[in-house]
Amino acid sequence: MTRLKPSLYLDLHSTSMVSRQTLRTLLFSPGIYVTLSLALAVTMLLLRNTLGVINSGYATVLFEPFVTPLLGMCILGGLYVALVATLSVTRERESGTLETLFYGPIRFHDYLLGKQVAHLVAYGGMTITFLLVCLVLAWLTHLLLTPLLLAIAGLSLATTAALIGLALWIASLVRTTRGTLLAFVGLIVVVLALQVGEASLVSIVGSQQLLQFVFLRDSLIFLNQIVNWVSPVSYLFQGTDAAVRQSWGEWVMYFLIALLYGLVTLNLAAVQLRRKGVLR
Amino acid sequence: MSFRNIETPAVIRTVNLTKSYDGRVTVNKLNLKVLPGEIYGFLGPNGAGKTTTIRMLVGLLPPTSGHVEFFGHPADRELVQIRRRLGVVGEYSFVYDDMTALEYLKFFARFYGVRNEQKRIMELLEQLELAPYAQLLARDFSQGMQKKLSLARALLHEPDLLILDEPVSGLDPYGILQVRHVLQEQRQAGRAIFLSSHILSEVERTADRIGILNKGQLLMEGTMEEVRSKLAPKMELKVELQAPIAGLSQRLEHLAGVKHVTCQERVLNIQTETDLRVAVSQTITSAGGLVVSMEAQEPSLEDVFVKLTEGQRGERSNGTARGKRAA
Repeated sequence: MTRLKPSLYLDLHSTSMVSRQTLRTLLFSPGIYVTLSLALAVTMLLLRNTLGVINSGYATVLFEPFVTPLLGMCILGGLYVALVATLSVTRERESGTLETLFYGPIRFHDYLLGKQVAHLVAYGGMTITFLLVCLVLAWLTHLLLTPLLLAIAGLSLATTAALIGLALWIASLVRTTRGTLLAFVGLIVVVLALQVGEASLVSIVGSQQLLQFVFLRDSLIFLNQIVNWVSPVSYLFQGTDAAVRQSWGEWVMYFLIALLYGLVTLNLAAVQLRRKGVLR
Repeated sequence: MSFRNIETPAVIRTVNLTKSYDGRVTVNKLNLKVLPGEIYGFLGPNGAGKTTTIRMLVGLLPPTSGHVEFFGHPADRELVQIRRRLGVVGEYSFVYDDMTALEYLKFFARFYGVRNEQKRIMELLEQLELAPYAQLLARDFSQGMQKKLSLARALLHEPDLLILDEPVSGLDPYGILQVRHVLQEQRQAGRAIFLSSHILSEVERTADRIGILNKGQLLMEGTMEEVRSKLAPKMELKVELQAPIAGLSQRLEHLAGVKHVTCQERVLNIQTETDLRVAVSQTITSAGGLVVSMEAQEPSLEDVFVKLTEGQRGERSNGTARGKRAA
């Protein structure tokens, strides 16, 4: 009986193949460039405001003017690559190419890891480009640019890996492209609604003594605490906060939690994909 | 080559392979064996469970019970390594929207780790007459061309076993000839082929052994001769004489193995249990007759197939359609 070769090489090879093919598709689509342009446009607007404030004499120095634009880019870019990741899996399943791929030597983990890596590399490219533009803008405007941005950008890689993992899990749970899109956008809307709702109720109940909304406010606070645990974006905010306070131990903790989050969701996606299968 | 040698390690072996959806059994305790170097024709009417079986074989559907072995290795534990030795063409050809035929084959050549990929790809494109279209987007190919492209993809890494689900559907007669030629080449190279098809004449022409599946059960398995002899043991001889001979029919009916003789002018129709061509010829000659032509008519695969499955046609339509949807 012929001995079969061990699978380690094959697994890495398959992951790399999926990753390269996905990255190629990503780079040839306009979405990534549109998202980056949007983030840069918002950054320009924010910096214009910052410069306006300085010129009007209200302030001479603003603390880290590039942090907010970078966080905006991290969230926008992260959500974009996560959305594209979830759609790429469901589209491949719907078009049947996933079935063809799985005639070959590939496991569910290899495939999903390839997807995660490709989208993370695309996100990394966006972040590097954004940081380079920030560098040029800082040189032009003489605004403060510190290594804090690198810490936030580094952390955002881990939180985006977690976002992509979550997105892949959604893709493995929902069979159709439309269903996946609705689930992903619905999740974002719910999280945003919870946060806006909580912020609004906290200010209204506090200022106008509307006691009938206290229960609702407390419920939203409780739900938001849960969201803070399950939302990769909240790890980005908490890690950024730690970096601003120069609490590097805490920063590392959020970095590792986000990475673990990405691995766990990736495994959940693989288990679910195995259970549901790759057939159309 | 003997296909009955039970000691030969099977390329595919299924043991009580079963798939059911919501309690409805689509494939029922399937036990089949494909031997090295043979073309195994897997036949069955629509909804018999052929595609479900193939999907279980290649690991796209988990069986409800039973298991599959490839090359003596359990498929559930070593599927990734086994898939490296398989070339699979599914019922439908799925291609990447943004890839040309050449890019598609390059992607899979690298995926399977094919050495000398460019040479191998060009060989296959030439062989299947797809070379002029190599730079066209694969999604713009006709159904038949996509089928040939899928076959090229399955052959890239020179697999030990080809699993083909309806490989000639959608192909024109030239395409069918090309595919047939490729399959014969693969067999000559010692590769086994598991061929599922509705086109009985194609299977009859190419397969060494066949298995007939109906309602998820393997009704019969064996070489064409074995299947024919089990189901339709009679052979019909049509003999044309130079001139009619009085009393010849009676003489022929006395031959051992002859079931029935009819005579119309110079033409005799003789139904026999075995091949009695020599004895019939001798009898005619001894009666002073001269044979102008003799034609032996064996039952075709279509006859065998219809005979095996006709009793269950009515029952089939409802049950299996649901299984297919679930699959």
